[in-house]
Amino acid sequence: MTVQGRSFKIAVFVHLFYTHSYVEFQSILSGLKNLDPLYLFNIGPSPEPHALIEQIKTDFPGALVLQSPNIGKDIGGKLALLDLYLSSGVKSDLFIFLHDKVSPQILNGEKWRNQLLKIVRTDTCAEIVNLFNQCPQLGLVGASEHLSNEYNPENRNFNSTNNLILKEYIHKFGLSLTDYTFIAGNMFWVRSRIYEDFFNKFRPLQLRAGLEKGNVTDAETGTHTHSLERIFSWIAQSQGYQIKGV
Amino acid sequence: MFLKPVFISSAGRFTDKVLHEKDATYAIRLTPEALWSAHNSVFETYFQSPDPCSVCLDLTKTKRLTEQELQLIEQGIARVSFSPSYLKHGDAPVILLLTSQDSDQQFIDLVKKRIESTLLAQGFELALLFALTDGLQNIQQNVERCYYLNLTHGDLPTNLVRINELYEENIVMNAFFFMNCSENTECFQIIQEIVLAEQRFAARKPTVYALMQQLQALEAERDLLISENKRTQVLVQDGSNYLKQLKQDAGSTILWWENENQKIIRFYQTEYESLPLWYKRFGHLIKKMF
Repeated sequence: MTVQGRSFKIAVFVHLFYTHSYVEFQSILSGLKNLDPLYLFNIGPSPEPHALIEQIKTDFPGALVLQSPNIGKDIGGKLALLDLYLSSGVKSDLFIFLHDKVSPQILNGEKWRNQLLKIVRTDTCAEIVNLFNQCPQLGLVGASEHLSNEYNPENRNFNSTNNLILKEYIHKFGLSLTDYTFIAGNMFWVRSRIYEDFFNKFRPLQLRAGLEKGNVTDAETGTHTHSLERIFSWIAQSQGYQIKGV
Repeated sequence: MFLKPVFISSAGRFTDKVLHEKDATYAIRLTPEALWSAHNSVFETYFQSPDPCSVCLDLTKTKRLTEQELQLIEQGIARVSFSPSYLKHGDAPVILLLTSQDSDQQFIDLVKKRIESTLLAQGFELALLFALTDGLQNIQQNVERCYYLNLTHGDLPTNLVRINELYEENIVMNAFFFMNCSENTECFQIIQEIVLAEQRFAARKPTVYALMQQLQALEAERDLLISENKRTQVLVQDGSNYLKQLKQDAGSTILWWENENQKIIRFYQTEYESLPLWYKRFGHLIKKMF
């Protein structure tokens, strides 16, 4: 099944670092099937990936599957998928970004994950599609529990270890922002054209090359990976679009 | 097969999908323009192919590249190397650069270096780049255990003899055997000849052959263990981070209780203990009266 040059309503970008989490994602993604999206998967390191790839292609015919080295965590994986999407000539109206978010380093990781993944439940999907149809200025939608803002207008700094890198990125990308809200956890819906415009200018693989290797955290020092996570939300705001929680 | 044939082919012929022999793989011959042109028809081949395939960047007619063109080549190769079907040796992607005898060596070295550093920046620990010179009739060997056979001009019988010699010289272990074939039939002849050469070698030197098989199995097991080790390292790191956070959280919980404790003690001190003794005894009397 060829996808080149085709148009889709929705393109779903899925990064699965822990390959065992695919079983759960099979049912999570079933909520999207009636929307007939294009699926793009990036799977993590696995000694025997071929069985999983075959399973994905059987479950989601036409899906494109990547296996990129582990840099930039889910952000690195999503950038590799974005690069593939942009080079494929495929068109779509909306993107959905998801990842397995196993987060074994976080104490309440499972609760966090379930909240983030509600954006692909069948009932929520219908609600989000309606929101995008009704509000042309809506750019990005994620779980309301994870709308976050670290900006302190008094000292013009971010209450985050990523403060300096965030400022560097804002300058580099020429982002014009009044609202610094972002979706912590990086799972959301976004209008395709917002990202198409941005990532045709700032090539995903070039950005990916600047990210940290391995499963990095920003608990003690800032990282380009966690900074870019915030930028993913601000790209929409910088183009004049709104961000909304469901 | 110990000798792994990689057939260099144009994209059009690749789609014929006529080769399904074990260990026989393709390298798609692409000009720089084909690699960087947007939405080219080749990209999907890499992601839909059931067979391993790699890039053979044809630089035979390219004398120079602009910085932008180099970047596009780097990105194009990085993109296809993420395909699960991309030909890898261990975890290292294999990339061929086809050059001509009058190619500028400095230019080829630059392209090679740029592609290599891009792949390393994209997270690969190693990239295997082979520069092959077009127009040579004979098999070439270099330090990377790579052999190149150019059949474009047709010299099949001589090269079939050479395949036997490679087995006799015991230099087939983990060797890539790149072949620039113009006809699919030649590819089949080559595969058949490798199979026969290996059978003859096994019959003539059974002990050596058995040891080679053992070595190959052990190397495969080693690769699997390296891969498992990397996954385990990630899980250990995750566990370590979890414990670190648990410790931090536990530390802050203990601190909170200590503060609460201090508050209660302070309250007791200021609201009761500091009162004069007669006042407290008077209070006890009132308490007893009621």
